Amino acid sequence: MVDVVLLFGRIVLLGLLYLFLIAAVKTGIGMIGGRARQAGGGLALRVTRGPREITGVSVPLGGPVLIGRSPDADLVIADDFVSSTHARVSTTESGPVLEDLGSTNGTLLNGQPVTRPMPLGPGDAIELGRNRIEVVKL
Amino acid sequence: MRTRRDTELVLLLAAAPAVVLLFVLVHGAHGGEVGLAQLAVPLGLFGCFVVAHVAARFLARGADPVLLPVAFLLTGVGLATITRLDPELAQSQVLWVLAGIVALVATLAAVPSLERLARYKYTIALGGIVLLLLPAVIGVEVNGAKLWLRFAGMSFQPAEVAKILIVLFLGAYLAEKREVLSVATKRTLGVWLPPARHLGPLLLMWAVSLVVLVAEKDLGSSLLFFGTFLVMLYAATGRPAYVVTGFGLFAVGATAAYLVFGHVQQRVAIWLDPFADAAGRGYQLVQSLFALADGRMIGLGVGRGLPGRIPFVETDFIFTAIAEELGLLGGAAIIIAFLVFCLRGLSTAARARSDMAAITATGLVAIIGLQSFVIIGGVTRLIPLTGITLPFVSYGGSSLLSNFILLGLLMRAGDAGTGSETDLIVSGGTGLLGRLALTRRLTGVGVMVAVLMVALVANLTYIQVISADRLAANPANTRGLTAEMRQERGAIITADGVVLADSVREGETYTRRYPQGDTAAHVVGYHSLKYGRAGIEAAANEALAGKRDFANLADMIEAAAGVPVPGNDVRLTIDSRVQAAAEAALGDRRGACVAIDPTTGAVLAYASNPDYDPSTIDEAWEALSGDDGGAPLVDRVGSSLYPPGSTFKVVTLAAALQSGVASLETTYTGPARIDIGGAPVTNYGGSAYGAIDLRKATSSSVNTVFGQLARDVGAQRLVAQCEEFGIGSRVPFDLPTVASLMPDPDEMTVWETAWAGVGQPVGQHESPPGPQVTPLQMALITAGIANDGTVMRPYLIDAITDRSGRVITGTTPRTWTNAIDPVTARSVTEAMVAVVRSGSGGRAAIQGVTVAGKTGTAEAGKSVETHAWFVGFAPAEEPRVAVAIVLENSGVGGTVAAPAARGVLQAGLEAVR
Repeated sequence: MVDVVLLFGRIVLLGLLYLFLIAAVKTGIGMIGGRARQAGGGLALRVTRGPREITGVSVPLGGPVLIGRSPDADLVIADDFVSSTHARVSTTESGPVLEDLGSTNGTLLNGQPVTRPMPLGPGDAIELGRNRIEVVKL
Repeated sequence: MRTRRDTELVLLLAAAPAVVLLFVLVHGAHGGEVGLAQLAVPLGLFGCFVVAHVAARFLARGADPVLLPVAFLLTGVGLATITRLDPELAQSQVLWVLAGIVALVATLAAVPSLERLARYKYTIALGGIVLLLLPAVIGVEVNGAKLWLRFAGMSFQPAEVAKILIVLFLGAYLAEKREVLSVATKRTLGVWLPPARHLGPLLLMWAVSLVVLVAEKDLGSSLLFFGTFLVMLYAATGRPAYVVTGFGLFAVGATAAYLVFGHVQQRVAIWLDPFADAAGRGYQLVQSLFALADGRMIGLGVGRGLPGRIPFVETDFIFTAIAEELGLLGGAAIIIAFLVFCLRGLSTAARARSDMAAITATGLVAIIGLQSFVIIGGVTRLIPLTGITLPFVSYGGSSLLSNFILLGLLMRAGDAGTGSETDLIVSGGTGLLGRLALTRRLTGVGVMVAVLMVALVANLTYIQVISADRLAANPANTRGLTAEMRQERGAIITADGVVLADSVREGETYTRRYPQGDTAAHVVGYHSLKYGRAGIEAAANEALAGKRDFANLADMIEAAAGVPVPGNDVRLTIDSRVQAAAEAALGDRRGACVAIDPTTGAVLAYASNPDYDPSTIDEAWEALSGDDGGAPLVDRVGSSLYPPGSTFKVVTLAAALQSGVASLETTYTGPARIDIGGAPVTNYGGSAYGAIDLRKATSSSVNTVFGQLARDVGAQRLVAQCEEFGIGSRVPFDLPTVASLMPDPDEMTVWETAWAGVGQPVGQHESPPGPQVTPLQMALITAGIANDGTVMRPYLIDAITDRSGRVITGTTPRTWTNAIDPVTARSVTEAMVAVVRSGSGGRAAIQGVTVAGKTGTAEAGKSVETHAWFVGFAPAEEPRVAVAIVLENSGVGGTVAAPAARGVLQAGLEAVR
């Protein structure tokens, strides 16, 4: 009889272990998923012209996005014309802002050179040499 | 929305029932009291973590909410397992847990941010390297590895703290040099490589890890350091080329170490084939695998396993103990807990404030992930075993303390974390690091950790489910025998109720007892943890051990619960009085005696001399199995072959009568010597007879007559008759037997056939010389003649009964062979009656009973005394007992064996009514 009670205890124990693990995993999913959805105001950057491997790629504007040739950049453009950290789109309370990070060849927003932080909106086009990135709605 | 700290409290509360229940099971397993006193430890442990949680509310509000509860679960499972393994160790572990919580809170209080620590990175590095290399210089070697410092009676493993210091240094250093390191200038073999001078730190770490490997003989730490470094390097640079190059370098270094150092070779050899030396070097790993295989899906139950068989079970092998008693489900839960911990650590790194904090957090995660992988993989034979602790779970003060400091640093990194909306602060000044770029790398690390953990679970599934049966059946696995000691083994009882073997309880286990000593030793056999089983102990093991039939739900639940099954009793056909008579008949002489009920085949007595006492088998094994002493372990009744001598004349006579070659009235001349087939056949003692019929020739046992008769029957018919009696086949029996032998008739010369007819094997050819018979076979021939020519299948087990005496299975008598027809049988009986009434077997006569019999005096070799034989049955009119006895080198059958058999016949007649 003692053994049967212990068996019952063991099964309950295993159940409790997994319940805890499920709870722990669920907590994490909620935290990551919720954050990504709410941030960025529903905007994203999409590469419409550039090296083949990243053409069409979209990066949601959930936080600052670093554009450049370095692997440290969030949007990596493997093009010698692009500086290693070329430009950055930051998220501010009033919306996304584009700034040039002192790149060698400069950044254009809708055809105009970026010399100071510029606000971005849907439909805007960012150009780094031959590469073109558009601000789109998700 | 719930705050992180509220979530943490909820998760702590969710983990508490599991931890408390595990402690309840540990204390309850041995029927112990489970009261507040026993629950003080788990509740105190929970209290400690709640204190840490409250501290976090003040000191690290933003820290990840899952890390602390997972650490609580792992520590709780570890402490409960250590309590189950060794309560004394658990007491000191409790103190270390307390120290760990203090260290955790102190870390949170003393370290305002990881970036602050970066300022002292070279001091930290120096401290780390000194601690790491110190044991190599002044350390104490334990178990082939130099890892310990010892002072004032305390042992301390500096490498445990050193690994955290080194991660802190590397985090700061890599964050600063990140940009230079990640600039690739050369492409070699399709791989981008950084400038050679930036490979410096890589090479330095490689050298340090090899020094650890070589000087401290510690492959585990070496792998852990270098692997952690590579993971951090990848997080810093995002270049897989480093990881590839690094592993290449490590492989080269490790191969060199393998070639040069014996202990590395040994580790690998054990990994490849632990069973090659299962009792020696592979012992630990093999025992671990056996333990895991026993655990199966839900485990043997807390306190029900045999983790004590594994050396170092409370440190390196603690995972085995958990998976043995909680099964695959429990083991996988621990692995998943580590995976969750690692993924939460990586998400902490992803939202860190600075690149330094991110890289450091990644390194801390790598330590936990790699360490748990290396040790769990080691004890489950996924990778070669290296002795390191399982974080938070294993026994060990330095390990536990450093794990809590590590947890504190991770929580600090999470608290300072700024999340994805903010730029990472960079340490190098110029080289920005994008959050998404960092997240990509951390995702890569996370995938790698997940792959490793999945590999662990898959391998564990393979051991605990797929190959569990194979491991359980491994000859080196004696766990089954030990487990059987926990259950009451059934008794072996004679037909008249005398207990020959039973089990008595001694504490938690049962001891086998043989109340009648060496009585019927070869029937009972032995049951030894060391030497296995023999006799009925082996043959009826399943019944005696009590196997479940899974007939109903209750039975299945009990099986899963590990309730010991009481064994069933074996009721023998042996009658203690007949057995005693048979053993008395043998006396001190070597030989065998068997008595059978001819109508059923039930064996009434089965004695072989010399014998042994089954209860002293372990102590006496050397002597019993040695060359001297006449091989007492051998069952002479069923497994020894003897020349049958003149007892075989009953077969020759049966063949002649059955084939119509002769009748009892057929007359031959019986000179002292006669040439048959060109060579002589002689009478025993040189007696000469004139014309004599077969009845008289049988009672006087005239060789020259039976030589002629065998010649007339011919080799073919003689051998055929032998086979009808079962010679040439293994006797179907409850004990192992050997087949009695006759030659191939095509190879038999006429002279040889003549001698075979009087029971002497003289042939020299490819097939064995014959006849050579077991006493059991002779008894069966005799019983067949007694039973109108039908030989019943012999049996020892009358029934298997449960504890209440209810018969579970009973034996039904069955025919083995139909050797001769009843008319022939009656004629042979008539001749055998004459043997006892007026011939060589007179000393077997019993007052008031007609005894049929035949004596034999078998040549055993030159200048050795003959074997004395007697076979017979009684009463001749309605036989109830048939006997065969052989006394080795004891003289003439009629003078020695016949009187010995008389007592057995008499006892048999009294027993069988």
